[in-house]
Amino acid sequence: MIEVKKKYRSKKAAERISLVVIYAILIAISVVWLIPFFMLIVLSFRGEQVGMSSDYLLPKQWSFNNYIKLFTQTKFLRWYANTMIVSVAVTIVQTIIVLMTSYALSRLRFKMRKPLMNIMLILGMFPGFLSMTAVYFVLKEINLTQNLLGLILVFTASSAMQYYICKGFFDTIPKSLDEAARIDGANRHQIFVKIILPLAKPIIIYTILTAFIAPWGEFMFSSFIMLGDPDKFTVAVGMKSWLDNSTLASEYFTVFCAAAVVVSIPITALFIWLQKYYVEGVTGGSVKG
Amino acid sequence: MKKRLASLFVCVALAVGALAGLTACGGDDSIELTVWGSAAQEQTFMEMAEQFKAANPDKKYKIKFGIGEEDMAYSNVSKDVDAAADVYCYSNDQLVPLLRVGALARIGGGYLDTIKADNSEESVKSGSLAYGTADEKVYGYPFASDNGYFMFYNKGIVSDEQAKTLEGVIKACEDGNKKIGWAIDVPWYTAGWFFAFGGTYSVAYDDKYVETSIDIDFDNENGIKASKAIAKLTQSKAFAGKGTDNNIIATGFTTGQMAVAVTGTWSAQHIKEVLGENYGVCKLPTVTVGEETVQLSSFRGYKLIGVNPHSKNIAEAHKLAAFLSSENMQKVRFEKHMVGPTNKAFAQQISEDETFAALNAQNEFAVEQTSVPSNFWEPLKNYGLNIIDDLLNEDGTGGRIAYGEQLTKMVQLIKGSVSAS
Repeated sequence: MIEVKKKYRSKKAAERISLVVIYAILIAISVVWLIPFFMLIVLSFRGEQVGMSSDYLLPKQWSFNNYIKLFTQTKFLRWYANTMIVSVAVTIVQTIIVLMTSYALSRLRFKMRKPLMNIMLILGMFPGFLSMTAVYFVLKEINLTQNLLGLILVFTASSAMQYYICKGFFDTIPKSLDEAARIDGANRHQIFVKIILPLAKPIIIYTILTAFIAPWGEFMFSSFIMLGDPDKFTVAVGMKSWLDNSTLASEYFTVFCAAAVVVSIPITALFIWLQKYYVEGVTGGSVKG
Repeated sequence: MKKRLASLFVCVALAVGALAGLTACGGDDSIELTVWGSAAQEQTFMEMAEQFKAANPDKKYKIKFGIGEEDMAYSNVSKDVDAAADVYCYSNDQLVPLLRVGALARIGGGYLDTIKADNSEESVKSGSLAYGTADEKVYGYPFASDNGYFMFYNKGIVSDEQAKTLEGVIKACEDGNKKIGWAIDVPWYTAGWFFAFGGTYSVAYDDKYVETSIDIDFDNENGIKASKAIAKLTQSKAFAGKGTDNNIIATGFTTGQMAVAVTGTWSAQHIKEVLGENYGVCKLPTVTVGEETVQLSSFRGYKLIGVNPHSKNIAEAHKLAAFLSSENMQKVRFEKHMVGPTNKAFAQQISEDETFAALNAQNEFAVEQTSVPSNFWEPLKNYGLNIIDDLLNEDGTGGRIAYGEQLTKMVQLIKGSVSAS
């Protein structure tokens, strides 16, 4: 009897130890993961100016000055608006294109469908910046350099190639639903809007999120196309211009951190807002099986 | 259905076309000019542009400012010379690459006579190749003389007498337990040590500004002496280590851990504020290797305003560039941003300023930073890193590589850009 009791106890103890170890590891990982974000936020409230590096973390003076400076003395608001215009436009156009492409590739059968899908997949594997110079000169021919519209065009031009995740999701929606709808007299367009889209919420959310995030933080194309015009900069290009200058870099470092915090707000907000649907959609789908 | 889609398409296409059309034509008779300059001076540039308009009331100007740091002029302009600014600032080490892509218009006539008369000869020379010969071509309006470096020190730690020699500086800092910020891993600063011991280089170009031959003698006896001198600094416990950039220097003086730094006028304002009465500034120290004592040398650079030959209003662009580099504008830049002038008359006025006195004193021992071999920087940087990491010594014993051997490799790499092309 006693031995058995001991056994139970030791099992409990073993479980507890393994839990402690697991939590210790998890805590360590999350600390490593969160420190950069924590530092960024703390630095953005630092009142004293000591340049980019310092041997202490917590500010000696807390202040809002970096944020005040950010919105009153720099072109940050302008850049923010530019980025927002581009990102929102890209999100709308890209989401529509991706959903339509995926629907066509998932539901319609036409000649060259398979080869087309393969070609798009392979083309999509090349990094976009390989064609940067060529794209630039095409844009120049149609007078769209140093222009936000040009940037939107660049970001949306290859949207259709991102069909595969979305198409995979559409494939899991039973075809019998389409067929039933057709029998009731619905056309392809009605099936897409009234049957497929309501069932595809999670993937629509996913498409919106990825479409928004890509141009939001993009640097290479934006800096190439805007070519030094500070009124057309996006946040990434504008903030980089502070760091390019040795005088500005130390003066603006804390402002840079404040800007980074402000930049991360829409993405965080978007994710928190959409995540509800995202999770709901995924679990809803799995229960129906 | 199909019809509706088709009409939708046409509408979108029309809308895009209309927008593109709108952006294409601005539609009035004012003269549009774009200027690229340092982001730190945007405000100042806009004020100067207003003064330019006021000085030329007979014409209507529309002047736009764009961000293009002087030291990145080539990478910015070469993206698309056609669409780059009409007038832009560049540091003179960018001259040859800019010429290679045809991005600089030649200056002549009255403008050339004026800049020659008003500015120091070295500064005008820095914007040209074959200066003073029949073949002379000048490609820039000089406006800043401060692209060079010298020494800042804390008088509370290092005495004026100690600041004259490297040995004195090292001793003072070791005794005071302070650091010396000297970026040995940045080739721009490393090169001065080689020049001091008599190292030289020269580059010849063909008519397309492609390098045809490179001569460099950093791998002889003098190069070894320079290496020993560098090691003297890097092996001291006072040496601040790798990656000593402007921010680290600024932080070092703020926290009081750094007592000496080799940097330029761009750091002056901050260091002066922090040190107050203890603010010391002078030319670089001398260094003794064996029996020989030499004055450390440095790179001397200028910043110029270039005119883009692709500009649609090239005459007006020259006019603006000349205006932006004039004495009064140099005065404005000095007052607002501590930018050192090239204008002779104005430089005379501020010769009392201790910071610029130090810059001028060092410039006498400095080497002009024009036509540097295109492969110069990377091998020299690695050599500096090797010395900091203590991988080299004089005779190659103790698992280390001999200075001479590594220098030979470095020179081969620098010369490599000719055989490669």
